Amino acid sequence: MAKAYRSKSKLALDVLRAVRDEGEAQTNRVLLRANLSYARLQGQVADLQKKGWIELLPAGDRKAWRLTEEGHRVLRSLEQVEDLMGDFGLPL
Amino acid sequence: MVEDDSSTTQMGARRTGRSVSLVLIVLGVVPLLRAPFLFVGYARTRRLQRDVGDPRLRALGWFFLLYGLATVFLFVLHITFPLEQQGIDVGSLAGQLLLPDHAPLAAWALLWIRHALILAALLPVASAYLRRPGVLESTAPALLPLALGMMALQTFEAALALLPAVLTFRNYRGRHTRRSRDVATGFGLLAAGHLGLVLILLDPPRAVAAHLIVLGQILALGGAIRLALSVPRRT
Repeated sequence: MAKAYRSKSKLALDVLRAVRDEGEAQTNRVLLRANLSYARLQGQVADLQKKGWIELLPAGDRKAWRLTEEGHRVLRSLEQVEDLMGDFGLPL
Repeated sequence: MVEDDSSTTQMGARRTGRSVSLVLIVLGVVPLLRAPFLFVGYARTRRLQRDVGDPRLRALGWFFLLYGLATVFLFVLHITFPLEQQGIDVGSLAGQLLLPDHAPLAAWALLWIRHALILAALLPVASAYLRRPGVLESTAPALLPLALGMMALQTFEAALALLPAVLTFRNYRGRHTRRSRDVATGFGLLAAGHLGLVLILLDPPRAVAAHLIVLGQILALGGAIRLALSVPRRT
């Protein structure tokens, strides 16, 4: 059976969800929750930050991320689409 | 005896006339009712696409838009070229490819555009379902009608509509949510509508053909409503 891969939308959803669930999420926590490699997460985080969905917090010597207002809205939208596509039998 | 024959013929003609009128009303009114729902489905998926550039969601959006346009073309075809005036056989009209040779070129053009739009609407959706991992291996029985459907355009369209119907039904059996049931019903009704039209290829009596057209249009309307209203209004 072919291995299921994660779409771009699903990756973004997993990272946003991980950041939201952590509140102020350090990189290693996001790595674990979103189940991504470090290199892959760097690309994702940079993309999400560019879109203004997450922001970097000045928290000591370790990087921490937080969802912006726009990020919260997009996450709700992504979760709605995830649910919809699941019901259409086309999961993200 | 001659009078009896004549009255029987007149009754038959009246009955045929009634079925023709029914078909004309249905072909005129039902697409007009169906198209707005499909466009609502398109508008709703477009709204969701603002934040989520997912190709499957895009395919769904295209499905609603192109199927809606195909419905508009069906409406225009039947309003512009009334069946009786064009000498088009009511039964064969539902086949949509069996217009008589003397049918106007514009009618043929409208017909072909409509079929092209239906195919363009159904192909990306069917392809999105087929690309899911494991689908090809586990749904070989569902793909059989697709292979058989290659024989004629109408059956091909019906087979394309049947594929999501089968797979969304399977999905509903796994999820048991209200919306997954609505989606499965929607695709099921749409496929049933197409399959009804395929039966006309078997050349049934005119009255049966007329009823199949009416039934097919009403089933497709029900399917379009179910599917369009399954997409949430706002995020």
